[in-house]
Amino acid sequence: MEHAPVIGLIWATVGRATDRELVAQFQGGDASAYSEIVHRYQNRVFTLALRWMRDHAVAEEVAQDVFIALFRSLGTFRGDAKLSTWVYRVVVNHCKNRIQYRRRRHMDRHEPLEGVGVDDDSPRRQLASHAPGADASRHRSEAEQLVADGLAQLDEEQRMIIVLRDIEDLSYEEIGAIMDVPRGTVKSRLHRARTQLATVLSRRIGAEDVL
Amino acid sequence: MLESPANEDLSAYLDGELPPEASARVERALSSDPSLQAELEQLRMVRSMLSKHGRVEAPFGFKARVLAAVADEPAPISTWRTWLRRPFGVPIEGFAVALAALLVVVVVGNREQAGDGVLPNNFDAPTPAGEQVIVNPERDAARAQQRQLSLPEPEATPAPTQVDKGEADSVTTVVRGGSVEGLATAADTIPSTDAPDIPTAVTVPSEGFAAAPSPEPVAQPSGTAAGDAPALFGASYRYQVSTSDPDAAAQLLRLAGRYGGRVSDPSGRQVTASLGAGDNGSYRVQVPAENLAEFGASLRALGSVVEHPDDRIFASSSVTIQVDLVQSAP
Repeated sequence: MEHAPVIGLIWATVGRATDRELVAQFQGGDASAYSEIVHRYQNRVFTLALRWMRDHAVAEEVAQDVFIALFRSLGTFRGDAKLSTWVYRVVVNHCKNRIQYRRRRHMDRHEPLEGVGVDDDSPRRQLASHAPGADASRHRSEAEQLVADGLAQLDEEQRMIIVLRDIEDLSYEEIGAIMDVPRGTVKSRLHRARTQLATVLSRRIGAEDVL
Repeated sequence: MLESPANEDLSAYLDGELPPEASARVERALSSDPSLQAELEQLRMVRSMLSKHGRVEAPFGFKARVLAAVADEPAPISTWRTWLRRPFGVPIEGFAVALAALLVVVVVGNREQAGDGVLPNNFDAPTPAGEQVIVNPERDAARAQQRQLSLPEPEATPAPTQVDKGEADSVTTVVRGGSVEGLATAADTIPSTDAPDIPTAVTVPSEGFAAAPSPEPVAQPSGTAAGDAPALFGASYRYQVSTSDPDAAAQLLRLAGRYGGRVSDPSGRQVTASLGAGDNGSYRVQVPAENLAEFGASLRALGSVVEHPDDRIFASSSVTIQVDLVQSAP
């Protein structure tokens, strides 16, 4: 019995397939690997989409589209980049395109993005109910609300960079590859984003409360 | 206060992204400048807040909805599998037809060579080495007639493969991991490349980033419109609900009833009587798929919910959820 933790650790290490192994399994026709990939990335993809789109329903649409695109494309994924980097790039592309698409349709001229639901001509997806109680964000802590509010003050690019760095813990190199900007740009935008966020948060709470 | 270009290095220093000499420079500045130290602390505070409170959980049932959305998609095919489907740019179906035609030619040719399409009776009896075969046409014809009456034709003569266009237009592949029924059935038919495209629902323009897939037209599972029958793809979940409420089982029963669900115990017996304290354990709840989100949300009201990764997808209009009610400290 006393070896159980060690055995558990070994099992966890051995039993958990790497991203690369999952992709190989998927390419070999093992569809269960895709299920694991979705499970592994759903929160990351949804977080990124929500922080960018700032609307739960739209973020879920985007996140679903991202995973559908991955399903269609993983068969040709060569593994030159890390799967995570690839997934984030797909999210960024989808978010950018969604914003541009809606801007072209002047949908955000009179309505803020936060208030806009599903586009008229978007496909029907199976979306979660956002009835009272269904939205976990309604129960989120004050600190989470502060973070959401603070991030909302940043422009899209800054928001993405700070999310990728401070929430997803990616390196400047990876962020640059995902956002398609030089490393120096990541560095300067990240600093500006943090400074701006620090100002917003400091106005709302003292640093002691946060730390 | 953080406007000077050098302060950009402060963020990078915090992230360990500076080269050693630049890092040393920042450290020297920090040691002699209290305001710089305060700025660094502010940046650290922001980073800490985001890392602790920035992550958002995907909505309840998100994964199941994704798996349902791709349930109609063709099975994944890697590049080498793609090549196998179109070796040298020719669809594999073409090779199949050519092979079948070749077989027909060979078999018919043999039959004609053997005489009137009937094989000699010694065809299926190997001739011992060195033994001379005496050919007696009359005897062979009589025996052959007897064989035709008593034996099914294919055993003696490989029937020419009939390949019609319908068959040639599709190729069947077997998807491993049969337990993941939702992504593809065990034998999944891949439409040929000549088949009509999947109907598209929306086109999001793509740009930039050539390596990653750009947003494509998204094909949705058919029949998601209200009133369409069996368009729903059910999912089997397993959720662990940690709750301090000893009456959680009773609440689970009420919730299931509210959403048109049925509760059964692990042995499959339906639970109808009210449950009380101490009845917390594992239950199977079957709810209509359209009520999944609401039911899931209500589950979260019972306690903290952990989704297990071994979801299974089944093509049905109801969803079976295993709910493990785990007693937690109040």
